[in-house]
Amino acid sequence: MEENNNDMVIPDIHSFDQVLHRARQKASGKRTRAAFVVPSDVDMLKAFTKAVGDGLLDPTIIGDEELLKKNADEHGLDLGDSKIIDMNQPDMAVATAAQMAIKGGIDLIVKGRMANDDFLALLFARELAFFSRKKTACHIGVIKPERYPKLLFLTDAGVIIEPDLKQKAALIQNIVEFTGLVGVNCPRVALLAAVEVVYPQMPVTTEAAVLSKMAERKQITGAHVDGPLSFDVAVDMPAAHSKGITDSAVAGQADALVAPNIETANGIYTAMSLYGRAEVAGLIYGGRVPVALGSRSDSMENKYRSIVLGVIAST
Amino acid sequence: MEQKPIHSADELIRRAVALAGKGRKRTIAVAAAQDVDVIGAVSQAQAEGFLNGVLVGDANLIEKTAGEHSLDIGHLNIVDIKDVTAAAHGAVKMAAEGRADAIMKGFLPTSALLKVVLDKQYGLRGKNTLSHCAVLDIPGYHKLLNLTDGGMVVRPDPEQKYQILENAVLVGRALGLSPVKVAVSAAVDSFSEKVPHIHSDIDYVIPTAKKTLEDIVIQGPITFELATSKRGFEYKDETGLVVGDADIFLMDSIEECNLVAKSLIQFAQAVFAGVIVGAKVPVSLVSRTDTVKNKKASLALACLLADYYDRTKVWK
Repeated sequence: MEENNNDMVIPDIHSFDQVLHRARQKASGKRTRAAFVVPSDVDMLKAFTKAVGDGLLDPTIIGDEELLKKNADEHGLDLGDSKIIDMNQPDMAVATAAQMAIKGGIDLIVKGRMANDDFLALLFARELAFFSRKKTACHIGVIKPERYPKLLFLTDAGVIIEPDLKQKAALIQNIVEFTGLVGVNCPRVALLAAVEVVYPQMPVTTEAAVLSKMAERKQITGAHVDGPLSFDVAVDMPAAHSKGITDSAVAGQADALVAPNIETANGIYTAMSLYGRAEVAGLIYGGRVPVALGSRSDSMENKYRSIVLGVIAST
Repeated sequence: MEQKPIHSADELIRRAVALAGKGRKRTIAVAAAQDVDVIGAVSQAQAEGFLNGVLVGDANLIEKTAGEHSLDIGHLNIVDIKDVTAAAHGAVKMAAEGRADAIMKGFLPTSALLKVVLDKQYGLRGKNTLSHCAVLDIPGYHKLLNLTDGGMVVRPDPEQKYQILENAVLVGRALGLSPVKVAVSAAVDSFSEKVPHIHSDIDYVIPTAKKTLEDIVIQGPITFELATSKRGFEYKDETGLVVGDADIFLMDSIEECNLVAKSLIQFAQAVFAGVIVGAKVPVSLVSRTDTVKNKKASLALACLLADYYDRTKVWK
């Protein structure tokens, strides 16, 4: 650990370059078996072929083969040794990838062009058993804003609309597992709210206080947890100090942010992607295999980062 | 009289200065002014010539604070009222009697000040709930974006949500926008039955706005990305006049609005002007963590809004 930036603790792994380096190391042992579904998203196709070219993936592409080849030709993309399963119905492509994951045939799914909620609805189909009832699934976004010296892990911008207390505890657990895979140990998890004071009329603040206590009593382990914290207090040490919060392991130096609801997480994620000059990546964590996905208007580079994260998260 | 719409924080401040130059300088009464950030903000705005400040509060403390921080308060009026609540009443009374055009929060909790503002004896209540507008100048976005409500109503019911929108539209008009483009927030792009507020937005908030408010365009529920990004627009084949061009982003909880606004201020270098709307005078507040420019922009916004109220007699 190195310390700077007004005493902020910066983990050894604090940039996407380092994450990519880790992914490369991992792939040098064994490439991640990845299935790309509905490949008509050209930016994601570019990102996917780049990851194939970088030797990260053992690739399968499930989708309309004719369209795939046309797109690849038009954009000069090399599909490498990709196995192609010709299937022009997106629903079937998703179900096929999920079944491959369940049978242990792939380690990662990469989502192409399909609305996130439609895609998730397919994966959540009970008969598919892609998600286990014992494990909470969530979206984890990873953000590296230009003006923050380390990675920020954000949940949940994609799966749970309004997590209750129990689900929030599970989200923290997922963050602990996921940051561990990335190489950030004992993350500093901020439970976000509009204020850093506990107000009974704001249930988000009382829940955050309860979760902090649960962490203090080791009902939640593997992370420093504090909340309620407002955004600036979570990530800006002077702001934390000016609000009188000086004894928190999290305030001013958060590694992870748990948002009170999906709108908030989604808003922060896209605000950072569009205006924070941030590098971002996202995936669905908690299923049989991780699912790499981008926000649909994400750049090719950010979609590539999502795949890299998926490589790291796959087992 | 009508001027070009204001699309940046700099323009907001310039316009407030220009207004003052035309003899429409606005007076702001500060409630319990013994606060270094507030004195600093008002003294600077007064020095730039866009408002008259009246510091209502503990005169000794005000002078001491100003002295300790080398703030020039020579041109500011001071009304000596030591008790904090009494000072709030003093400032609000000035507004009620037309001696001040806007109220600013000093050294007391927001809730304590607003209780006085809403005190029936002053007649400053409007018909709507009070709400906070965070008007952001976000580098990379081509116009100001009003995020609301990240400060007052924790979880608006449909009627409150409509009122928050109506308040925000007033700010849009004060900024000279025509039409005012409103996006109603959604978590996901497509219609999702699971999002709790989707039905009340579609069945109540949006139709009520269309029926009641003139010269607005409203669309939603749509995501922040779709509301503000042409990139999303090109990609998603979405149509609609608000996509990529929203002036107002109406959100569904205090958390959503507050956190998204603060993330933009923190990491996107957005300049922020905030104001509480819904009373017959604007209520301005600045916080310790605001930059000099944020504070200036907030006061300029209060001046423009006060001028708009005066010009249009919207509360008469």
